[in-house]
Amino acid sequence: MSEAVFIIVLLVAAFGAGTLGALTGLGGGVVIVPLLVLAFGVDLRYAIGASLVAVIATSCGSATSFLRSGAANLRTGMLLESMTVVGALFGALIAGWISTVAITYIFVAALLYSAIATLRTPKPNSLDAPPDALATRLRLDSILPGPSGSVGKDLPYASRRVPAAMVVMALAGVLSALLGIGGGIVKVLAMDRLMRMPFKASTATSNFMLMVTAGASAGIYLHRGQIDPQLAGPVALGAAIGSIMGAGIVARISVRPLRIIFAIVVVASGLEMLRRTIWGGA
Amino acid sequence: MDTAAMPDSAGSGGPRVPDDRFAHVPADRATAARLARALRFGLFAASALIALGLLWQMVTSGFSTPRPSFATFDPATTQYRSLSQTFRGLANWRPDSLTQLGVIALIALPAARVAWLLVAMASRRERLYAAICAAVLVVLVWGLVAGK
Repeated sequence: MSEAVFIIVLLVAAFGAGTLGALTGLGGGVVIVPLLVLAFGVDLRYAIGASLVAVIATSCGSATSFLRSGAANLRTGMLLESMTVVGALFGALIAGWISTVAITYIFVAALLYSAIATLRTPKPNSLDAPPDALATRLRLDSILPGPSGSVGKDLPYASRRVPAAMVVMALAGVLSALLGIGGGIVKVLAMDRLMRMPFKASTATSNFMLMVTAGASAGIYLHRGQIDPQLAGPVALGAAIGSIMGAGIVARISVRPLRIIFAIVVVASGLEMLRRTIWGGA
Repeated sequence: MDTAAMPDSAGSGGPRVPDDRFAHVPADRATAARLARALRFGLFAASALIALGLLWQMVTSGFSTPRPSFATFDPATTQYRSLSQTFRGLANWRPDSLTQLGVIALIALPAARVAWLLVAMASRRERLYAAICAAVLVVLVWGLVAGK
């Protein structure tokens, strides 16, 4: 395969990963790392570096639409990303000391967990709960706008258990840096389950924070030589275009069947990575 | 009659919570909309650099050189591990250094986003959130400049 063909194939593959990631809410990262490792024979450390850059690009691409719609909670994002960056810095610094085999095991566990979590139907959170003192002081309570500006459908919501969510965010940061993923599943879990934010606000805010989480470790991987332009360039560009496409059509199609297929792909690639790590071979 | 003692929404059938809990929401939305435009511009600029670099590489050497393998990690093979190395590559007219410049622009975009919000929050006199942004920015810039 020549350089030019390699660039085009990477662009197309990353475009697909970015589109699916945006459509299913899993983000590009969970598929880009297995894609590079399994289909292109790339070393895990290069794959993680390229994936982190792609996470920044996809988060940026989809965050713009979530910011304009008003679904992303700016304050919650700013507050919680102060924890994810600290976790990510820690994760990037310890990553050099952990073997690739151990990182693969953690990655596969995260893949399997992501697949299960994606299939879970979000339960509607009760929005008339009493205000929480800390969340009110931090002005985290907000209003989720109704679908495309329909007046009167706006959902005011309160947030709770802020300190617990901050602890979980630090963990999401460690995972993101270690595995080259955005860690969106863990972030959504913290906001949806712990803080009791509406699901749409949780995913939008998570997306808004992803780029900052990934940005905290990407610089460190750059200095370590894990980010090569010939790999990270096409992957980030393809994933960025894919995520903008995906975010544009997500409201118009039924994503449930897609999620199931995607979850199967994620589980299968996780098991294949596990097989190769344990028994070796291609 | 002492109206001050009355609850905020008495008799109106309106929301049971005091309205000032959500007083910040309209201003936050305006900030978010402006940030969205800035982010879109940043993403477009970085993507354009990457696209130009890749195109340049494909036109010059792309079809005559075999694909790089990346099968084993070797830090020595990655030439551009900092902005200065990347600029040196540009001075030597290397296509992949232009791609890497776009990649580095993407990596720096989160720090730019946090700096943007720091200024926006400070100008709205939101001291707490400006301080949080400043702390996050310190971590991000450290990772970009010194982290290894």
